[in-house]
Amino acid sequence: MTNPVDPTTRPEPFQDGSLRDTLAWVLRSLDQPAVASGDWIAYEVDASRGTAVALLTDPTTPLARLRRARILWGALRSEGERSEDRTMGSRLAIAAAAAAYLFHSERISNHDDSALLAALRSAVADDAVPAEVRIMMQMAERKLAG
Amino acid sequence: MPRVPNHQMTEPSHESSESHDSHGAHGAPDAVRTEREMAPRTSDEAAVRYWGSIYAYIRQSGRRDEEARELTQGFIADVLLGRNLLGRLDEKRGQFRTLLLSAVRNYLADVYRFNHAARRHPGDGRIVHSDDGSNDTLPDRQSPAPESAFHRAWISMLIRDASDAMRAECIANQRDMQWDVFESRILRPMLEGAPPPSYESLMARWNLTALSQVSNTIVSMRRLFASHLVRGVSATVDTSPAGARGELRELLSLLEGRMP
Repeated sequence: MTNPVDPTTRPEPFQDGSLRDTLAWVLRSLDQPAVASGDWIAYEVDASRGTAVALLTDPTTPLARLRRARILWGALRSEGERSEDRTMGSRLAIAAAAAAYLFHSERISNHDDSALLAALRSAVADDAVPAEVRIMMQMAERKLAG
Repeated sequence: MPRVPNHQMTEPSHESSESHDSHGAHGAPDAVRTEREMAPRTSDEAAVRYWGSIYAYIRQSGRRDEEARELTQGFIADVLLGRNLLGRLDEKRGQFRTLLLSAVRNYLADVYRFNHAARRHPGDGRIVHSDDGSNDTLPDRQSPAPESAFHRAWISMLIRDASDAMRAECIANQRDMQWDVFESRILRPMLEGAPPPSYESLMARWNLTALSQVSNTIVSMRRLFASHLVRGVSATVDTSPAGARGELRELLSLLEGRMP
């Protein structure tokens, strides 16, 4: 029997960390598909924070990243291929506006106060949104309501 | 039109491109290989598909490279093909990974016993595998190193398979841009540590006009990769999605050292 694989071209296994990360995000996409799509956008915006929760609940997240995240989540809302992606995109775009207002006192959306409050209340009531993000939005809601 | 970059992932030398190129349009049932069809169909395919994992176990058990390759060849000829281990895959007897691992471990034990018997009773004309001073040791069943090496190689194989299948599907469906964005922005940085290109450079390369075209492509392609990986895993366990998900969880646990 001849050697079926030339050892000089035989691919080496990937590093443990690479394999772990890959399996972890694949599993997350199976367990929580909508949250996973939101996290993938968050990773694109800020790989060091990596998830929507980390990006949106860290008071030190730069405002520019929140602006970018809002734009990309907004695009997921309008162009996402699945309905749960579109819903999560909508929720997280509002959450980005909430984080900008809560942590930086900046308005990064075109909502007026009443529209923003209504959107926040709707997102806070959505159990599909990660709990930490809903808590942050409640804090923004209280700040906005004065 | 931008040129499609060459496939730069580490290319498995063994995967037959025709098997993946046979994928038709996404969603066309008659053109997409099922989980069972993704399993090796010939002994040659099987030999090359599982070579890395078998070799990794044997090499990590203390054998030198040359001897490990010989033993890998011997195992494939005598056990994988000779005893029709692959046939058990078709019988859906649970995880093929654990079956294969157990078979390799037993094979090394058999080799050890055979070599030591041959040393005690030379002259029976049979070949002694390692009589040249190599490290012929009985596999240490307490040592995690050979099994860890086996699992790393196994998961790497699954990821390469998923990557190859996805690439073939994208190219067959004129989704070159989507593949390039995913490969260059996600796959190569994650697996090889390559620096990811900026959104702006990807937009320029593919004449895109909005950042969201890149980000939404990445969401779609990540999901497609996940589906290919699940399909590949399903080929090694029972065919239910729950079976594949359970196997993925177990593989992750093994990598994280949460399982013996």
